[in-house]
Amino acid sequence: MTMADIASNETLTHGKDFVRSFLFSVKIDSPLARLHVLTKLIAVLALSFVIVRFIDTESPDPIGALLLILLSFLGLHLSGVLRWVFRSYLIVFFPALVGMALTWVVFYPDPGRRVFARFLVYPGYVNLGLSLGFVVFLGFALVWYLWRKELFWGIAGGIALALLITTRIGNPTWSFGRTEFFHPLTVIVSDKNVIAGVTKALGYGAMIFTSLMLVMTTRDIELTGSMMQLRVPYVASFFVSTMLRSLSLALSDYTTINQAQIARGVSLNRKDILHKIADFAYMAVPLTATMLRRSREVGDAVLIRGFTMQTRNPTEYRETRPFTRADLIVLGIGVVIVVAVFVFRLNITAVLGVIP
Amino acid sequence: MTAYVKLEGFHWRYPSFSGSEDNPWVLNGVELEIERNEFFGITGPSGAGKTTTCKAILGIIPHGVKIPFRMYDHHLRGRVWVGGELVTGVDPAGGVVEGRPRGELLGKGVTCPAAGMVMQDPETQFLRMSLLHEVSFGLQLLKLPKPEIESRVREALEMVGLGFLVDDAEYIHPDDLSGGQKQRVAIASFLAMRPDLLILDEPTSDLDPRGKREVIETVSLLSRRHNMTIVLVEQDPEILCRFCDRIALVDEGRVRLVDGAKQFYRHVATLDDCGVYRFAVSRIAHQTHLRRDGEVPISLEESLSCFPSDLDFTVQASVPQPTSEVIVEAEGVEFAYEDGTQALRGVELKVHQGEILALLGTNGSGKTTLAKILNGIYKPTGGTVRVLGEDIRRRRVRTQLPRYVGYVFQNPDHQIFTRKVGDEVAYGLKNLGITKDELDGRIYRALQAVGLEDKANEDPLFLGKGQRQRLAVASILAMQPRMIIVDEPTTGQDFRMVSSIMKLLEELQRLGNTVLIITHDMTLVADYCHRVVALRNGRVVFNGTPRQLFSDEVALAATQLCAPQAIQLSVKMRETNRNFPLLANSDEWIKALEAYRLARPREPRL
Repeated sequence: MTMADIASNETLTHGKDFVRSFLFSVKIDSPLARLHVLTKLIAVLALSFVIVRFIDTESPDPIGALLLILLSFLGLHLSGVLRWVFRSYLIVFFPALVGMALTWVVFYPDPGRRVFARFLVYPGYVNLGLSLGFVVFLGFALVWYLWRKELFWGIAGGIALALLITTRIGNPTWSFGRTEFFHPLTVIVSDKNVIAGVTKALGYGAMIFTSLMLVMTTRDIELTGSMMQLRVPYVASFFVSTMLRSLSLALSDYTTINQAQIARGVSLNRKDILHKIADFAYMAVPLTATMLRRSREVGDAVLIRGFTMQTRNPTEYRETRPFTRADLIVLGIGVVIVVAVFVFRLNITAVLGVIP
Repeated sequence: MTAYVKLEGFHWRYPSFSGSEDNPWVLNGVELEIERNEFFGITGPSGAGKTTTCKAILGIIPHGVKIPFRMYDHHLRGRVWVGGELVTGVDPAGGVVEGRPRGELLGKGVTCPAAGMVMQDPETQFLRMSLLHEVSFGLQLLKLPKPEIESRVREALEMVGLGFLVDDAEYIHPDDLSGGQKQRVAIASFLAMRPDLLILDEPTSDLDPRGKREVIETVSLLSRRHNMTIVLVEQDPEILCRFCDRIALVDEGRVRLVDGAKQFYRHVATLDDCGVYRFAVSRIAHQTHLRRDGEVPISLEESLSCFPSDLDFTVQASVPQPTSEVIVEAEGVEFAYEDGTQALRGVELKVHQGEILALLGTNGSGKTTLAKILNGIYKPTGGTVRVLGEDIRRRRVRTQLPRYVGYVFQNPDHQIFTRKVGDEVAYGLKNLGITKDELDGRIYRALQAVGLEDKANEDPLFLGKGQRQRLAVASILAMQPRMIIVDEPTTGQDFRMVSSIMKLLEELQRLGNTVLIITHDMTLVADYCHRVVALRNGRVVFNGTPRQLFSDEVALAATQLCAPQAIQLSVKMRETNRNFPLLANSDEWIKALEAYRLARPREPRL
C-alpha cells in the first residue's frame, strides 16, 4: 500500500460538486458561484434599494416585491442550496414575516379606500386593579415555573386557562383606579394596510433571502481576492483571511467543547433559562483558553511561513477572478432596474393593473 | 565553524505578563550542533524545552516575541547560528536606557524561508481557507511566478500522498480534510518552499502508526533528494532510530545527551532517568541484565542473538477476565454526518463489564464517532445500541448516558470549565445532582486517585498538560460512570506521563470499571488492554485479544496496524522454536526471563 492509498483512505474527497461558502456550501459550477463577489454585492445592494422603494407605504408594489423574493429563491435553488437548509431558514423567517405583516395591519390604521373590519383593542386608559383572568394567568405561570422551571409553557398555559375561565364565567374585576396612557387603539383592516403589510413582509423577505444568497454563494477566499483586486494592502486582506480562518477554528472548538460539556452531564436535567445561560457561560473558560493558545500558535505559523508586517504584493495565485461578460450583464440588469424604479418610478403592480 | 545549526549556551525565559515574578528559564544553556544535510532527532520528556529549542533555531524566539521594555539580557543569553549566519545573539553591554544596559538584540532574525517548521497541531497552522492556497501561501510570499507555484504545489501534494486531491485543491476547505491529511498538508506546505532546514515538531502525533512511518519516510527521501537538513522532534524510538543520523536528549532546558541514533538508545540509565520512550527490547534487557557485546540490544535482530531462544514459560493472563455482563451491545450500527460522510457501516460490538478494551483503526476509520455514540453525543442513523440494556435511540435514554458512560476528550483544554481544580471536578457532580454532603468526599477521592489532591485550590489552566489530562480523567471519574472512554490519552506525552495515566486507568478497571481506550499506541495496547476491536472504513475488521492481533499477519494487514516490538520478538523466536511462548509485552518478557534465570542460575548469558 502506498502513501497515497493510505491518505486517500482517510476521507475521500474526489470530484467535488460543492464547495464550502461563508454559510454552508455552494455548487461549484452554479451561475451565482461563477459571478464575481463584487458583482453579487453590488447586485444585492441595488436590489435592496429597489425593495426599499417597493415597500414604500404610499405606493407599495407587492408584485415587484413578490418577483424579487421569487428571484432570490431561484438564485438559492440554482446555487444548489440544500432543501433542508432552505426549509430551516424558512421555518425561522416565515413566522417573523407573517408577524411583521400583522403588525403593520395593527399599527397602520389607514382606512384606505375600503375598510373590511374595525375593532377597538385599547381604550386609551389603563385600569388599575385585579381581574380574575390576570390572577389566573399569573398564578398558573408562576406555579408552572416553580414546578417545571419553564417560562414558555407557563405563559402559554396561563393565557389559555385565563381565556377559558373568563369566557365561561366572565372576568370579574376589582378596579381601584384608572390612568390615561397613550391613545385609543382601533384595529382597522383595510385594503391599504393589508397591501402595505403584505408588501413589507414580501420586501423584507426578499432582502433576507438575497442577502442569504450572497453569503451562501460566496467563499471567503473570494472576499480576500477581491480585496487584493481593489488594491487593499495585503496586510489588511491577510488579516481578514486569518480572522475568517480563526472564526472557523473557533466554531469547531465550540462544537467539541459543547460535546465535552454534554459528557459532563450538562443535559441530564431540565434546566430553567438562567441555568442554561450559566452553562453557556461556563464554555467561556475552555473557549478562551483554546483561542489564546491558538492565537499564539497561529502567530508562530504565520512567521514561519515568511509573513511579516512589511509583506507587500505577493504573487496573486488563483485568488482573484476577472470580471466576465456574465458580471457585466448582471450589473447592467441591476442598473436598468434601479433606473426604472427610481427615475421612471416603475411600479409593476400598477403597470399590471392588479390593484386599481 | 562547520555546523549548519549551532546553539551556544542558549538561555531563554518567556516574558511574564502577570505578577512581578519572573518566569523560570525554559532553556538553560543549550549547546547543540547539527551538520548540513543531517537528519537530526530530538527527544525528551514533556516540557523539557524541545519546541522552544526549535523556535530558537528558527529565530521566532526571541525575534517574534514581545519582550517588555526590551530587556533582552533579562530573557536571553547565548547565540544561535544557522547556515553560518548569526540568527540570534545578545550584546549585554548594548541597549543602554537611562545609563543602564538592557542588552542589544543581534542577528538576522527569523530564518524563513530558508528554514521551515511543521508544528504539532496541523489545525492551527492551516492558515488559508483552501488546500491549494495553503500549500501555495509561502510560495506566493516568495513572489515566485505562477507556473512555478503551480508545479511546486502539485509536486508537494504528490510527495505527501495527496496527489489525488490536486485537481480539487482549490475547493477543499480545511474542514473537509481529516487530521492525518492536514498533517500531510502542513508538511507539503514547507516542502513546496524547498527550505534548507526543515524542523518537524512531533508532526505525526495524530497519525496512525503506518501513516506516521510513511510520512517520515517521505520526508527522509526528500531530504536526501533536495539536500535538506531535517530536525525531527519525536517520542517514538523506532521512528527516531530508523530515520535519524544522530539524536539529542533535551531535559530541563539542556541538551543532556547527543549520540548516533543506535548508540543513543543504549544509554538506558540516562533515558530512564528522563522518563522518555525506549525500545521495548532495551527495557527488557536492561531490567533482566541481558547484554549483547556488553550493550543492551535495540533492534529485533540484535535481540535474537541476545535473548535465550529456549524459554519455557506458560503465558498467563496477567489481567482479570471480564465478567460475562455485557454493558454495551451494538448491532449493525451506522452513522452518517450531515454532509453525507458515512462514518460507520454496520458496526457490531459488545463491551463487557470490567474489561479494558482498545478501539483501534487508521485515521478516519470511525473510532471516535463510535465512542461518541456510546456516550450519547451522536445518535446512530442505523442499527441498535444498547447501553446497560437501554436502547439509546430513545432521546430520553441518550440524554442520561453521561451518568453511566464517561468520556475523556483528547485535548484537556476542551474540557476544563472552571478556574479551580476542585470546582472542575464538582462541575459534573453538580449536573448529576449530587448533594453538598457527598460532594466534598467525591471531589477529594477523585483528585486523590489522580494525585492532584493538593492542587484543589489551584487554577487548572496553570497546570502542566499531563496534570490537566489527569484532571480531565478525575472529573469524569468523580461522576462514577460504569464505563470510561478515553480518547487518545497519550498524544504528545512522554513515557512517564503515559505510564501514569495508564496505571490510573488500570486501577479503575481493577475496581470494577470498564475502560475503553482509543489509541494509536500499540505498545500501550499490548501492555494494558484485554481486548481489541479494530475498525476500518466504518466496519469492525478485528475483534480479539492484543496477543491474537499482533501475532497474526493477516489480521495486521486487514487492520493496517503494526505489532509492537516485544511481541514481534516472540513471533520471531517462534519461527525457530515453535514452543517459544507468545509473549505479548515487556512485563511478560521480564517475568519469563526471570523464571528462566531462576531455573538456570548459572546460565552464563544471564
